[in-house]
Amino acid sequence: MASTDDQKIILVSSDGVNIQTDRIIAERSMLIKNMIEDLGTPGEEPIPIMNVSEAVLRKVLEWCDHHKKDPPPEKDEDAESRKKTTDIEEWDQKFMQVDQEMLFEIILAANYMDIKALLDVGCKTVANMIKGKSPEEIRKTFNIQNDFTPEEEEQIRRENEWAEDR
Amino acid sequence: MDALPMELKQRICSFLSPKHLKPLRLTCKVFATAAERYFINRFILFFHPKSAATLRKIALHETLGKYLTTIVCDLTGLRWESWESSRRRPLKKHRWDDYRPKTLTLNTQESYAELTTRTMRNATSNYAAAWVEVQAHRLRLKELFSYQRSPNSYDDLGIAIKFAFSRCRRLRNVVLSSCHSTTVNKARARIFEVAHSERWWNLHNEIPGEAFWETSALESLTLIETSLPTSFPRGKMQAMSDLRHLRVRLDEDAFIYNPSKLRRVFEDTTRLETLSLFASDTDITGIVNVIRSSSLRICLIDFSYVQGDALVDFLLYHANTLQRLAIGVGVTDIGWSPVLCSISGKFPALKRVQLEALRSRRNQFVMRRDAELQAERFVLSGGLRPLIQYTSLNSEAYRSRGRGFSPYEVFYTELPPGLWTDYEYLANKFWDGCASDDKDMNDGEDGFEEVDESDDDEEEEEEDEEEQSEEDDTEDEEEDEGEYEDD
Repeated sequence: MASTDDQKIILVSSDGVNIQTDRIIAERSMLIKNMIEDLGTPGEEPIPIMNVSEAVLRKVLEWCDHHKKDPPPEKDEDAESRKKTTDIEEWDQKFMQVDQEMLFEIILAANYMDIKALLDVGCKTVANMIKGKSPEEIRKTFNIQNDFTPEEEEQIRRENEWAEDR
Repeated sequence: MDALPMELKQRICSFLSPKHLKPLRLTCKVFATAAERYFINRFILFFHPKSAATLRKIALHETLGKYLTTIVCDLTGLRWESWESSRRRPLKKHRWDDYRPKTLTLNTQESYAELTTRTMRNATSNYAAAWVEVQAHRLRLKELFSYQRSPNSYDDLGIAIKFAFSRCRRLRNVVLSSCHSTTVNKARARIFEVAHSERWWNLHNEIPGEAFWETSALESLTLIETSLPTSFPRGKMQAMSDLRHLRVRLDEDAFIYNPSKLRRVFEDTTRLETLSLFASDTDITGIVNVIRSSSLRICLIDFSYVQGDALVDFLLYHANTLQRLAIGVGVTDIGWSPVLCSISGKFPALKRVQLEALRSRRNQFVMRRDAELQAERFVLSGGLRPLIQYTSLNSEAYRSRGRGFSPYEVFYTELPPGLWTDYEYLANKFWDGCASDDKDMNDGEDGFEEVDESDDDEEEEEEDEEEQSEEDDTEDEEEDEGEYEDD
């Protein structure tokens, strides 16, 4: 019998494409890991990944392959205690050099597939795109519509004065 | 970006500091909401009425107040010289040369005379307005100066703090500090309307204690070179009953502490998990006598003196829970060997020990680096008692050893919510800048050897002098350095 590391499993993307991958790679996703444990017959039945298209799923699996030897993910920390560093390792930076649509698709997929480390890399990438920009530059970068009334905007400005400049 | 649900937008915001969240909040309503959770987690309360008013506004805010976890209270005030010098040399510029028209742009609508008259009138008017502002600024400084010297101002801050505690349910962390990062110092200069380079007056005045001690239970308390709030309640202190993290740095201003006041704070901290106490000029016997926690995991203490038996009792009380222990600089009345022997191998959960610059009984010598390493292993794993040797405080080997206990390793890898890296650094300033040493204390040779058990003061002194002179002759050779055995 093949060891867990050698086992192959089949994932089915939302657009119906079967993708074969190693179990160890796919199990970076807690969603898949739990599904395999629940099914109890790894490799025999294809696993549907309902919300992720083939292109995004292949991209996510590329990340999982590179990080397959990372230590297993820890229990998610309290959002307020999460370390605020936005440092991203070099390989991940290159991996995230994609268009904005793909970047957000990866973030959504990482969230759906429960891959915390990838989710954080995605969110840090967006955070780094926000840093140092004026409100207008951020709106332009992400195509955001200003929906404030002048009074609301003034209120936000006043509140901004209350916060630190660190 | 629209495709991301609110929780993911919030996650993005969690990686941004308030400085970067400010422009993001101004982009649209969705991001104004997403940023709320991370926008004002801590508030720096300066000794200024505007600052107290802002704290009240945050506490009243329907969402921002919910996420406030920490108040940093700074009682630094304006120096008398600042007010005095502003009378002679106003801080805001009002030189006529800055307003005097330098060039004229001719136009067809006005004659040269009309243009000159109008330009001069405008310049004079601007200069007069600036002069009014200078006078107003001077008046504001005077008012601030009076405010900071009025007993009512302490009530004003105390009431604001108490109000914030009553409204903000996550507010459970307090930093009382007169030391800050440059960013905070600049913010204080802005609110005081003085130059950043201004010298400050550390007031060491005391906020009414009820603002702190009678509020909801704190999770962390950080005291950095500042005084404790006054008026302690009778009986158990509610605020200390659930305290998990305590940082105290006294430094040379230790005299501002009344030791009995400090003990009063420590004696109710029965659930303490991490403690850092930097009291370089203080006898901490009274403090270690009262700290008794059921869950102390990390303990970092630096002091001038402690009674050896009291320190042993304190450490052994926490033997089952201690995971990291660092002891720096201090002297004990019985020397270090008896202390180390009493605690050696008694900590089942201990993962790391660091002893740093421990002093001989008469505070003349400092433990040698190799002896410290052996002593660390001895505490961690037991075994034969090592030879405890000391060297001169002036020796090159001591001065250039470049090792220090890194608080980063102790605290920052697992910094709990409500504690802040900048204040952790300030609270552990002694060690800051020292190179950390990642050496695994379980590795290496055992290197222990039996030592003579005799304990004769006269012999020690003779040895001290003898070894001192030896060291002068052979500075470069560590083996020949001045040595002094603890017992």
